Order: sequence, then C-alpha cells, then structure tokens
Amino acid sequence: MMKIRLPKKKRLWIVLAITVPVICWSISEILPLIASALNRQGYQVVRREPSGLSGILTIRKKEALERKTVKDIRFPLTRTSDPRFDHDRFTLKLYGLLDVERAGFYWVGSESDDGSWIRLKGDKILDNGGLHSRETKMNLIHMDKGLQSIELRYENQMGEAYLDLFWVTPEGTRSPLPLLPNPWGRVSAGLLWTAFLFFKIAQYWVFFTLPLLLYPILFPVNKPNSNGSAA
Amino acid sequence: MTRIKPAYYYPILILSANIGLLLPPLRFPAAVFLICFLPGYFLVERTSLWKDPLFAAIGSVGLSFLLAPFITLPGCILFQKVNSLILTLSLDLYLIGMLFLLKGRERNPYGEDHHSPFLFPLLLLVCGWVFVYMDFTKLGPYSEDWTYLFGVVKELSRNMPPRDPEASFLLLKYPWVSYFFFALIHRLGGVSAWKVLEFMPTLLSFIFLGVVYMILFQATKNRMAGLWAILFLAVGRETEWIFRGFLGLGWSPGYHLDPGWAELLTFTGYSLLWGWYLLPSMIPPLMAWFFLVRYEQESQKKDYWFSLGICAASCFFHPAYYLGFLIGFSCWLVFQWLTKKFDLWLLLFYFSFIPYYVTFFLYFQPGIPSDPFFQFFATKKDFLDAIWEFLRYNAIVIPFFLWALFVSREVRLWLLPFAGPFVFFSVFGRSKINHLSHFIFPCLVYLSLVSAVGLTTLKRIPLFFRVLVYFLTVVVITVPFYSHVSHRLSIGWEGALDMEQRAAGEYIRLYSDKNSTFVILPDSRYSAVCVEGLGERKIVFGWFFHLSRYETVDFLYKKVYEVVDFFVSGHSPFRYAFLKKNKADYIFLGPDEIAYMKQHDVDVSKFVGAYRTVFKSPRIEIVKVDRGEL
Repeated sequence: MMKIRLPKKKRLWIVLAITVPVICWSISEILPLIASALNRQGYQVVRREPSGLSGILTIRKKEALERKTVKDIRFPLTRTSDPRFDHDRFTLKLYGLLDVERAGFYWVGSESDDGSWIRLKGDKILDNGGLHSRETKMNLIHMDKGLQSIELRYENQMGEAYLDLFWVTPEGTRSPLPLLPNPWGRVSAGLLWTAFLFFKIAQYWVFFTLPLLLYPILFPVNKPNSNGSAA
Repeated sequence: MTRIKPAYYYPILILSANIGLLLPPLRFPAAVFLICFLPGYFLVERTSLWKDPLFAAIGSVGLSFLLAPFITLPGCILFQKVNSLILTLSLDLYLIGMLFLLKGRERNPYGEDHHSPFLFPLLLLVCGWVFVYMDFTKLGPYSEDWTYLFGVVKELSRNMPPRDPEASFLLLKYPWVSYFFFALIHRLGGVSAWKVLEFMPTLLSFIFLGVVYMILFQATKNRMAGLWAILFLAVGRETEWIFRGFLGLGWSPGYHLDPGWAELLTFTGYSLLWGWYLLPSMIPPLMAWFFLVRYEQESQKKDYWFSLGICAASCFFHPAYYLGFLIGFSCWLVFQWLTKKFDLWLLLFYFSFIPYYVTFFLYFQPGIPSDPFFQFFATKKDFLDAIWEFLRYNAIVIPFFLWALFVSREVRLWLLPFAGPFVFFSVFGRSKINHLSHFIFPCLVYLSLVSAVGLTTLKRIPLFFRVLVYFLTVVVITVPFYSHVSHRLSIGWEGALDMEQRAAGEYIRLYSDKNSTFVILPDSRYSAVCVEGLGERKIVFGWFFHLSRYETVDFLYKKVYEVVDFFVSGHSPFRYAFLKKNKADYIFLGPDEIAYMKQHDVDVSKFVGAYRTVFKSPRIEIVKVDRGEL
C-alpha cells in the first residue's frame, strides 16, 4: 500500500512553516494590545503628574545632525515663539495621546510651513508634506471612543517655520488638537509598527511557504519501478 | 518516516479545512483551500488525470475553479441565499461523496516528470509578483468595469438567484459563474470583496499560466516553450519603443499613447494584475483545449469527457471567449477533414455542443446586440492602422510566430487552427465582438503560444546568435514593462483611492443599513468606489455598456435619463416618486454629481436642503432620504 511520506530532513522545515505564521500572527495581535495598555499607562502617569508635550528635535546643520529631546512644546509652534526651534532646517517627531470622548467622524488637520504628517494608531491620516509656505490640510477620519495614539512628524526645510494642529469634532466645533503627552509614545508606536511587520511576515510566509510545504504532501512523487508499478 | 493511510488522509484534508474555517487567522487560507483546491484535487486523485505532480497541482486548482460554483449552487438556490453554512455543507457533502469513490483506492502515484525545473520557480515568481503588487498598491478591482462586476460579486454573495444585481433594477443575466466563485471566497473567507478581488489575480494567474504551459507541453513535448509563453504573457510583447527609436523619436521605453486600462490589460502583463477580470473567462476554453489535445494524442476517453464537461460549463462563463474557442475548434475539424482524418467522437462533440451552447446562450441572453457581429475594414487606411497597432504591441514575436508555422508540424496541427483565425480577425476587421478584452486578448494568448514554440525551435542558428536573440527578446519586452510599472508605482497610483473616499466608505459601512440603496450619477466611478466598493452597499446605477447585451438600449437610456433627471430636476414630486420607485435610502453627492448639477444650473445647497445631511467632506456629501415622507 502506498503511504504518504514526510521526509525526516524536512520536518524542521515543516514545523517552521506552520509555527512561524502562527507565532507572527499572534505577535501582530498581541503587540497592539500591549501598545494600548502602554498608552493607558502613559495617560495615568500624565494625569498624576501633568507635563507638557515632548518630542525629538533633530537640527540639521552643515556639519552634522544634532538630536535632542525638547519638552513643553506648545502650538502654534514658530521660530519666534520658541527659540529652541529657531533653526533653518530641523525635524520634530512627537508622540501624543488623544482622549476621544465620543466615537465618530473627526476632521484632523494641520497648518504647517513646511511639511507635516500625522499618524493615528500607526496609520497615516494626514499628509501635509512638501516644501511650502503655511498650508492647511485636513482629513476626515473615524475615531473610536477612548485613547488614541498620535504620531506627528514636522519638518522645516528653510525660512519660516510654523506648525499648528486642530480637529473638528462631530458636533462641528473646531479647536486645537487636545494632544496629551505620551511618555510611552515612542515605544507604543514602535510596537504598532512591529505588529504590522509581523502581520506582513505571517501573510507572506503563508503565501510563499504553505504551497511549498503542501506540495510534496499532496503530490508525493513515486517513481514507477522497472516493471511499471508504483513504488 | 511519517505514514498516513489513504483511508485517513482524505478525511484529514476535509477536517483540516473545516477546522481552519473556525480559526480566525486561518479562515481565509482554509476557505481558499476548501473552495479553490480540494474539489479539483479529489477529482484528480479519483480519475488519475495527471501523473506529473505540478500539472496535477495546476489542474486541481483549475478544476476547482470550474467545479466549486456548481457544487454550491444547488444548496444556495434551494435556500435562496448564500451563507457560510450552506457553502461549507455543500462542499463537504461533495467531498464526502468523493471519499466513497476513493474508498479502497491507492493514492495516485505522481511518478512522471514532464515539466521544466524552471516552471515552478517561474510560476512562484510571477504569482508572487502579482501578489506583492496587489498588496502594495491596494489596487483591487479598480478599473472601468469593476463597478458593474463588483456589484455582481456582492449580490452573488447575498442572494441566490440574484435579486438586486449591479443596477438594482435589472434581472441579472450576466454569465456570472466566475463571479460566484469570488463570492464564495468572500462569504466563506470572511474578508471584504475588495480584498478577494485583490487576491484572485494571483490564483487565476497560477491556473492560467500553468494551463498555457501544459497545452504547449502536450502539443509539442517541448519543456522550454511554455516558459517563453509565460514570459510573453506575464510581461507583454511591447515593441513600439524600438520602432520609435529607429524612427528618431527617442528611445524612451514607456508606453507612448497612454493606453487605457483595457489596452493595458490586453497588450501587457497587466492582464495578470487585473486577472480577476480577464482570466476567469479565458481559463475554461484553455482547459477544454488542453483536454482535447491530450485526447487526440493519447485517446483516453476521460480527457474527452472532461473537455466536453468544461465546454458544457462554459455557458455560465463569458460567451465571447467561447465563441473564439468554437471558431478555433471548427477550424481544427476542417483541417482534420482536409488531411482526411476523421474522428467520429470529435464530430459528436462538435454537434452535441453547438446546439446546447446556442440554446443556452439564447435562452439566457434574449437581447442579442443589434450591432454587426464583425465588419471587415473597408479602407486601406483602416487596415494599415490595424496592422500598425498590432505590430506596435507584438512585433517582437511575429518573426517567431512565422518561424514556428514554418518549422513546427505540431504548431500547424494543434495551435494554428486556434491562433490563425484570431490573428486574422484582429487585423482585418473590427466590431463589438472584437472588443479588446474579448477578442484581442485571446488572440494574443494564442499568438504567444505559437511564438514561444518558434523561439525554442531556433536550433539551426549558431548558439551565439541564438543566445543573442533570446537576450534581445527579453530586453525588448522587459524594459517597457519595468519602465511603466516603476512609473505607476512612483506616482502611487494617483486617483485610485483618496482619503475622502476611504472616509465616506467607512461611514457607509459603519452607519448605514446593510440593505440600503444609494443614488449616484450614472457612470460616476468615484461615487461607485465609495458606495459599492468600500461601503459594499447597493446603488441605483443608470447605465453600463455591458447591459446593452441584456436590455434594449432604449430601456437603458430611459433609465439613465431618469437618474440624470433626478439630479437636475427641480420638480420635487418627480424626485420623491423616483426615490420611492427605486427604494433609495441615501443620495450620494460626489464630485461628479456636484459638477454635473452645477453644469445644469442646479442649486446644490437647495437640493441638499430637502434632505438630512449625514456625512459631509469637502467633495462628498451624503444625504439621507426620509422614507416616511415618500
């Protein structure tokens, strides 16, 4: 009787083919939960010890890059309003939290000179990028109730610098974006990015390795003997 | 060694697919396994259709594509709906039935090795490319036709027989079996229809390219020819940039005439990227053809019955492609008659199939288009233009095509009866039936098959020149393909989807009833993307040129005028009557609708004022119709 044979040497490969996507998918599901817990933790910390927004400022000088953490950032941000940003070329990366009281569609926007980009829970929701004078852009997005992690990137490439953030709530009220500092913001964003990466690894792994794994099992090659019968 | 007895092996496959359906991360792969592989695989195992393992894998997926819709159809019709339970039970019943037929049988030995060692890596490369491209661009079903076809897929995943097809007002008479196949995966796999249509090109490319390889191998016993054919079909045969270079117009390798989607689909490798549209209709005739060739060569009756069976199923797929197959088949019989070879079974096949096909075709499609079936070019200019157009996209393979006809008996015997008429009709005339994707695409498939054989029969040329020819051929076709794809990627497929569309789609999905209907302007692709594509709701859709096959043009125009009048008429009772008649719940005002209304001096704010705005963004406004007032 013909039997299905799984070659011994391929067992490790088979185990890997099955476990890698399961583990990667599990990680991609767990990491956002950890990120969310960290955001909540950060929110509690901020409520206990109120502090201003902080971000990573990278100043581009002719010779080298200078990177430092700046605290107590206030909007609107200009070169004159805050001497720490009085540079021709710099980028600012900032992680914050939004406490959304009601689920619904919100306009989230930025007015910037030059480019600014906003990500909500790892997804890009606003692209106000490019070398331009003060320009307002906004997008309508659906937000669930609760804490939302926000990631902001801003860059000034030359001349004046300006950045302001706002939102329009479902009630139609336009107000500055009530960003709260997130002490765990960087870690949380990193976790979300890693979760996405793991999901993609699982997806591509399944696509490319599952057929390779199943192929010899489903279609085992049995060369006929000299008398013509299958081995 | 791990050994599984055949008695356990098949039930394990069924069980693993069913368990996978219950586990969220495995649901989609399990659904694909259950729908797109197992039905065909069990049949292949039972009938020992292939001894080559890779051919058997391709055949299993191909036969599943043809079988799965028909396995699930009776259950869905019986219960008049399409849901996961009915689909799973139908498929399981079929597989359990097959288990009894497999009882006591040894497993099929796959002891023959006919394919090139490069075939599997090449298929993996091409299908992987399609998968990565679709995943990266999120292009999905974005094309001109998709709004219509997407509606068909959605409706087929809800009701059976379909009640509210793409137009909400027409009976669905489109040959929809391939779309039912997509609907099965959408329903059972638990992912959005958009995602399903993003994935399908990968699967269908595998079947399509695999079958092409099998046909060439079966016909010529040449292992390399199929690889060239795959390359021609995956990359295209674009040659215009060489002509332009020699004419002194520059050596830029991009597409110079900014071809639209249909041209791209037909002439280039985009036929694989949008494979959910073109390939489903091409696969059945190719499979029928393969079995027919094998029957003629090996005289195994099962091949004959499989070929006839696939032909019988063809009526549920796109008829235009089958018409082409029949033309080729008829020529084949004539060729045989000329060489005084008579095969009674083939004649029986022909004369049993033709009346069946015609009856079926006429029964389901009463509105045969009134435009001429085919018209030869009347002027020399038209003819020269057609030749030029043909050469622009195919010149590189024409010498190989002619060479193959000259040197290969197999090509003349098996491939020419199909390729010849298609090339003839593509160059010498045009008509509605000669639509790019209906007629020219099959033509280019057959052309690629013959040319691929030509390339592999250059044995009389010294090795150095032969390699040079191969190298130049690859360079000529890959450079424009690479150039065009990189350009498309660099611009990020601008216009495919914008943030507002995503937001509107999310609103529709989250806040509107699943059965709600939206009014949009006829032919507004932007609005249809939001409502049908992202929101997965029904639309009152006025016009689509495909529908002229099934309803009179007068009827469709009347419908179009009705929808258009709704947007421009200031007469409130007419509007209310229209909304009531079409059971509309929402009116979608996208950029097309607003521009159209402004063009006709309609005060948009006054129009909107009569309803309740539920969603508003700079370019989109959705208003709710109060059904109580109607």
